[in-house]
Amino acid sequence: MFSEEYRAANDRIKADPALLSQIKQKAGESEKRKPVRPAVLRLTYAAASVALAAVLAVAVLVPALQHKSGPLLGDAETPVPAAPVKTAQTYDDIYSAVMEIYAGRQNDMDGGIFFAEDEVATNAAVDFAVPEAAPEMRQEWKSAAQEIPAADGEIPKEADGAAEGEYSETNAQVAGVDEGDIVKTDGKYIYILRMSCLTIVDPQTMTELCTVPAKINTTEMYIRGDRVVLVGEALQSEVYTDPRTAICVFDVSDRTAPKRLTELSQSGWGAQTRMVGDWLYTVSSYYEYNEPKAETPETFVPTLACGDDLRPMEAGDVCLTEGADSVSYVVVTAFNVADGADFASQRALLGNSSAIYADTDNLIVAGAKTTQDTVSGSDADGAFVRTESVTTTTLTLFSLREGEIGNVASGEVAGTPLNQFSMDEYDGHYRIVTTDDRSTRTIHTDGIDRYDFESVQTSGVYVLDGGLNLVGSLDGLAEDERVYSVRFDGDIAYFVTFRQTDPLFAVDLSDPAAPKIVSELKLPGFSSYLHPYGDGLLLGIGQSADEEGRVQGMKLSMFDVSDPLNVTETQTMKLDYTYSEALYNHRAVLISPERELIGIPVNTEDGREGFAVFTYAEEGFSQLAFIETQSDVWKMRLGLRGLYIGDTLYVCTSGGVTAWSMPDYQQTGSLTLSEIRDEDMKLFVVN
Amino acid sequence: MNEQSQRMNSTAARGYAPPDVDEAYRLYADMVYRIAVLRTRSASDAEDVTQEVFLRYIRRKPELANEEHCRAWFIRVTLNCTNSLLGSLWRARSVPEEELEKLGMTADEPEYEVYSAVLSLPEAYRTVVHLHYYEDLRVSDIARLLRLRENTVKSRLLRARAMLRERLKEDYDVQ
Repeated sequence: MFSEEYRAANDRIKADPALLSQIKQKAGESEKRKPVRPAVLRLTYAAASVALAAVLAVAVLVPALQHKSGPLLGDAETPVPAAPVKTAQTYDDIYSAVMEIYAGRQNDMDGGIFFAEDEVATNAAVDFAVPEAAPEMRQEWKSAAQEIPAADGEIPKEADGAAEGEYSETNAQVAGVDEGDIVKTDGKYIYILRMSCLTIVDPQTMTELCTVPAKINTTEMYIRGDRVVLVGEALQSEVYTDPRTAICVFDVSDRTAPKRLTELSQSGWGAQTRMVGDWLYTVSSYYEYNEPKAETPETFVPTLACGDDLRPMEAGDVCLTEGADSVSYVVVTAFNVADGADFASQRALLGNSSAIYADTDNLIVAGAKTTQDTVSGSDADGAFVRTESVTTTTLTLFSLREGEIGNVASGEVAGTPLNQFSMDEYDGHYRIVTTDDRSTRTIHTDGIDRYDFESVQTSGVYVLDGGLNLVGSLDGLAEDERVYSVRFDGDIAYFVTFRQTDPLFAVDLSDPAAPKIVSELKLPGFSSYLHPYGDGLLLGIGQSADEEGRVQGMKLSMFDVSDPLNVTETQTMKLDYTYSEALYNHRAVLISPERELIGIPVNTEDGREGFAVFTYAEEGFSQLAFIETQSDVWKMRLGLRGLYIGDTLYVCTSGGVTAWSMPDYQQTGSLTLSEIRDEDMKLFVVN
Repeated sequence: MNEQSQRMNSTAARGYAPPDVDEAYRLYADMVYRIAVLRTRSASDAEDVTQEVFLRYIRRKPELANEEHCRAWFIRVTLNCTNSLLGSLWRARSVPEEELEKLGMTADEPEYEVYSAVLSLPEAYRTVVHLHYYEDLRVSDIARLLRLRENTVKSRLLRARAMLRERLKEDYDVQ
């Protein structure tokens, strides 16, 4: 058996016990002495701000509901706009920049940390998009946006006549910007991604129309009329296992026999995508693994492929970001799914992407960066070396115009965003909520070796203009707590931080230069997803906790936000479920305020999986159904999702589909899908 | 109780005291080292990573709620430390046999074939295989540790199994 042999092999691999004494030696006497305080902390700005932030947080948390950022925290806290984005002229420019990064690279492994470590119990993939455009375009977008009903998860249907609310769409962040998922419907058919295969189901007859292999490790898909676009992971070749993101387009005009049309790929994995109209925008992250050779651009520049034709990106498409500290690229491409044969435009950026945000005209890529500053000095205890670590987020704004990716601006804010919901565009301003992690490590080297380590976490809201210059900020909030969820709703930013209790902050951004906290509601537990729910309500999906912050299980909360000055929790419902994908992936949520419907995939304490359906009315939440799905660890049902077409709810997994009448939830149909064959799981290789 | 005193009491109230470094090393060093070997494919890099992980444990004194949290902390920090190594070196793509020998494995042993097949998988695949098959983590936990969507973890795992089945041919039943 594979698993037994693998276990046996690993059991033989053991850490050398002698390492421990070396570790202790390195750590020195740190355990025995207490950290040095004020005299030392004054030496550098970051250390000083740590102390100030600590004082400030106490002040904020008690009654001071209004506090302007700035003076208290001093200049050190104010993010400086990054240098303008420079585009390479030639491959030589890029080669020099890459070699410079390798030469300057710190060997200290701390340099690679983008996430705080005590965050292990919190959120996963950080996902972030950027909006931007010329002001006049933004005006148009805004007026269009005003006609879009409240953000309730429904993207307005195209003008081809489908009645609104007839079928559900993937729960996306921004109206008019589609997000990929593993199960989708166009109101007539259900499309399910299973491993590398696309399966189309006719819900009328509950039959499987086809299952076609895509030969990529599919992660998400989009449906546009008779086109299905699959996005996934692939490898460059069997030998060169460089990660690639592949895009395949199928013509499904015959739903029983999809035809593969196009196959594109770009360097990097971790793709985040959005679709605006027929334009697919794909953002991948790529670590350059190759040894750079000046005469071979593909060893230091990301590549694109169309069919068998693999080519390095043009030098002019590569932005050389100042201060990049590793040879990693963010690759952004545009592709027209209706009639495109190849990428229409592309950009690469030296840097990394932890989240993207997109509206219809702009894309923001946020990349986290840890900066370390080392100073040496001496105090009463002798000579020391002090290293300060600060995390910042570099924001790059690309304009999106009919597939033309323009490069607009860059900026920087303190801290790191949680996910795509941490960012937003409204009224010409970009807003971002971050958690700021700072740490100071002091090593005394005279006589007794000693380590002192201090760290502080705070949260902040930053408002930037169309050029990503900082306009206003409110920081130093919620010391030692992390941001668990964020949702912007017009002028107000709502966000939840958590350690023991759940403060739901409402921040008024109507004056971009002076964000202010207007409400702070404390509850046990936390919400990890917030969704504006009809007029004046905000739904929270999260976990409850006891007074000590121990997580107790799931909960749904409804907040009354009709008066931003006085946000209250109107209803809460504790759920018996232990886990839901909805806690970490908003696309798993089925939500429709008009239908008074909230559906999430859930796991029960005794190991069952299913789709739970709730409704909310003034008297509170009530559960309408728990639809169990077959759960099989080894077969690993992929992608439990619920969707509706008309008055039928369909619960889909990679194993099958069941149909349920709404609102009484009687089963009306069931379909077991064909098995995926081993040979269809083979790795897709680009060339 | 005010915020401040609540916070100070929280560790005691939770009834979990994170282990001292000797105990932590006894509990987690092998786990850390195994993950590091798997990720870096180098015994000496894995030793460096192990040192760094425990140094961080000593220096940062992470606040941990329970044993499970403590274990997750060690896994997460090991992944962090190996991440920066993966990014900083251009590595040979073939499985370095001498590295396996350094780990005390020789080609005529039955485990050797399985372990080197896993090592030959692309990094993203071998990490999920290890966390699932050796550390017995659930897909949802792996997704959170690696900051991936669950579906991506599942499909990587399934695909890794398909690759292993092919590499190991009929000799092993990769389930």
